[in-house]
Amino acid sequence: MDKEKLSKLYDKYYLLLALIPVVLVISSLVYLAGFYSQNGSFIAKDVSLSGGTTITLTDPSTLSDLSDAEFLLSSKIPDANFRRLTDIRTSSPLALVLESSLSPEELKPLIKEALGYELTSENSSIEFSGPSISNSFYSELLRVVLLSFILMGLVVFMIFGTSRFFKSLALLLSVLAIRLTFPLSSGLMIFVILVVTGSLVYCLLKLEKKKQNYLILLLGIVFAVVSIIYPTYFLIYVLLVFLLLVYIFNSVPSIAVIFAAFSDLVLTAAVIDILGIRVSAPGLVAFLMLIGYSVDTDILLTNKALRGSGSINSRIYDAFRTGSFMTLTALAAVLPAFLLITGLPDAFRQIFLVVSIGLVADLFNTWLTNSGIIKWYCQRKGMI
Amino acid sequence: MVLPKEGDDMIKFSLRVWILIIALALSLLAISPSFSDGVIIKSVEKNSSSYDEGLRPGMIIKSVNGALISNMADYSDVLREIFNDSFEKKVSVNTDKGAFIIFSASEPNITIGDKPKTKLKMGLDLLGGARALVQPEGVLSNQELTDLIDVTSNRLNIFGLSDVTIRPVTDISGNKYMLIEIAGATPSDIRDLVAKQGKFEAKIGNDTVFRGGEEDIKEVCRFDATCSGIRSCSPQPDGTTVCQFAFVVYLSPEAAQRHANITSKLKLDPGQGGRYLDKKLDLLIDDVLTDSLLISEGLKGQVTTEISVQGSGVGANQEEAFQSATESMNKLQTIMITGSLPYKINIVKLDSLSPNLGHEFTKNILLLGLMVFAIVSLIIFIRYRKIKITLSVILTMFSEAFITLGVAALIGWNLDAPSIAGIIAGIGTGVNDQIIILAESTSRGQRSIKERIRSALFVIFAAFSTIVVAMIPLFWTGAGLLKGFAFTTIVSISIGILITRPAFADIIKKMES
Repeated sequence: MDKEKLSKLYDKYYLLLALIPVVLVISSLVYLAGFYSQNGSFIAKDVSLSGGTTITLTDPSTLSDLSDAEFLLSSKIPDANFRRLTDIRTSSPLALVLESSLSPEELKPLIKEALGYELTSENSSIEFSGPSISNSFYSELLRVVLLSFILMGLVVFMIFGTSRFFKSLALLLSVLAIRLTFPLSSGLMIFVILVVTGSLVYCLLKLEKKKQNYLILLLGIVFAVVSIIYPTYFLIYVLLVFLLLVYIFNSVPSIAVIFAAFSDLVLTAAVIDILGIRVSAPGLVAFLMLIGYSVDTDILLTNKALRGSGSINSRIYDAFRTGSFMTLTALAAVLPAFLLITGLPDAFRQIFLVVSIGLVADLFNTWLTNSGIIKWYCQRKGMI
Repeated sequence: MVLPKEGDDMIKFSLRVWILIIALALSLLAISPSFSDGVIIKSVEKNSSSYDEGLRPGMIIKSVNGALISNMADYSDVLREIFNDSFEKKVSVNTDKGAFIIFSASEPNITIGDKPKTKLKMGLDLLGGARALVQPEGVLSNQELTDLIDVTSNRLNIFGLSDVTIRPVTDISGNKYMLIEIAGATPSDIRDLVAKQGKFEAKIGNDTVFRGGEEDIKEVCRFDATCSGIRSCSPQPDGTTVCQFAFVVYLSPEAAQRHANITSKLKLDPGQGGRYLDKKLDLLIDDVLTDSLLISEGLKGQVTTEISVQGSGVGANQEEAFQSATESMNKLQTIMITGSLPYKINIVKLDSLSPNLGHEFTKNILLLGLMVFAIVSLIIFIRYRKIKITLSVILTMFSEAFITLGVAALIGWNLDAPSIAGIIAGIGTGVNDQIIILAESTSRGQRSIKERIRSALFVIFAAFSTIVVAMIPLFWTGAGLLKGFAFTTIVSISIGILITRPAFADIIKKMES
């Protein structure tokens, strides 16, 4: 098929194509809501986030027959979960990883009974997280993911937004998210007050004399004062809605990029739940990485579409060629190595798994939805 | 960020490449790989003959009594040979800081480790060791937390653990913790040592004679066979073996007076042939009775500053019993010297990580890194079919990883698994950026190469900013256990933006023009 035909087909169906990821995101949201109502969290937490013990057994006698060892252990420890680590070169077992909600003190005698030897630092690694610290890690990390998302949105709006008044308003509001996430740090509070004051001055300088702008600024100031004095976490949801409205009414390209990042997170979380993967603390950290890492193709696309030369289709196609090559290179580099080498620390496995799933999701979200929205936007603005 | 300007000439061009070369050289200096052999001293027991003669942590042992030492196995072989009986020996230790002569009847009280090949510090998950996150009961001020850390640190040092770092951490809700990290091999009962408050009391009946800590105890005899050690081992009817230890403690005059006052009121115990008093000296740790010692009748009402403390250890055989008794004695001596921790504490997270497994992980991570490197190079070559471009992409990938490691070595960052994942993620971003530069530089259109590269650098800078803002919040989260990932990612992409990318853009510009 030649380029012209492809271009015409794209003209005809691009909005329909853009809808595919949107439908996927909506179904994922429904799925995640169901998952939440069943489990009380959006993802299945491993013991590092729910409390319990991970024991990595490396004794040769255990590894000589893994199924046997798993059978013996699971008969003693009913809630045990197992994972195997193998050496790539010899394909011999490297370790057997056991997860349980019990404490090491409770597990050690059970393991001795099952396998017949004592655990020492020579033949095992033991990682224990108490329930309270694990839950606090989990809720902290969720808050941090939301904060990262808000800050990423700010950067995108700074790049592609057009109104200086609204850009400084967005800065004023977004920085409050730091105050709401870390309410006890006085150092961060001073930083937040400085940035809020600075951006407020700039807002006033760039204020266009429109009634609604006065009102919006007033709302922003009230919100800032309340957040600084009473940093209740609930306010962050109000802030999120406020920022989204600012972005939607001011910069379609920015909201398209932010939506793509949001879709990446939602699709990745849903796929991870469907695959039955239990997420550890490094896995949640990988979601942060995903927020920062997945928007580069969206920025490339938007920059090319808004500032490039040639027809809109050729601009999008140019960006697509570069961007998809970037994503595919990353996947091609990490996935084979990752699938072959199973004897990696949990942190590695989780980070690469989450980022890889996210990158696949990003291919759809960027090149179907984001490109569709930006094409629609450029056509409406006459930038063809 | 350095953007190419109109009128850049060849000198300016090479400047950016020069900066890259200088950064690489400085990193090499910071990492300073060395291939010489030896073992490093990790800790030296204070008040030991080794310490008095001048051996200090950080010295590299080259030879002992003329025998070359290239690894830890050599060291233990040589020492075993020297100390094969209990006579005093002359040991001459040759180190990188000079030679030392030590006279001793037993192996020197130092811990050693294999000499590191580079200045890079590995994290506990790759090196092996123990990590405990400890939460004090009740609300503590920062000063109180610092006190707690001081006492704990003192206790671990006196116990003889080397490579210990303790730092305060606070979570979002304001809860304060103490994070203890111990590198290398750790005792199996680390939980006891860290979490027990260690309140030591010696009581007769309900009266306290003396407590652990400087106030009541002037000195505790350790490492001196005449007043401290394992006294006897004997097999038991149930097949186990019990070893007895004893050591002398020197009381303060006040405590000695208390002892005299309390014992003067005691009667002789007729059951023991009248040789002992009718009450025992009970030793309690954290209000739990650990031992009861008979008090001989000669001590009744005596102001004595010298008290012999005894205890025992049990094991399946003599070796195990000896080991257990030695550890119990060491623990008891430690808490008698340091006194109790000022607050009750709970261990909320405790990881003990096997050095063997860490070694396997390190090997596999290196392998993963090499595979990623090879696959990326191959893909770039297949796509662009130019050996020059492929080589420069490889060069920048390598430079970014190497300079990031250099920075880590320079500031003594502990490279744990998340940190290394961060470096790989950083390299991934770097490759993406280079693909953008290549795509822009080869794209058609009226714009000049400089304009096109400027546009590429704009996208790169925007992507850089989103990653930085997304990762920064990690620094204040998760007791600092996860910030390694954020740190290395941000460092490596910053190096990419500031050093390697401008150099790469210059190289490509030269190739294209």
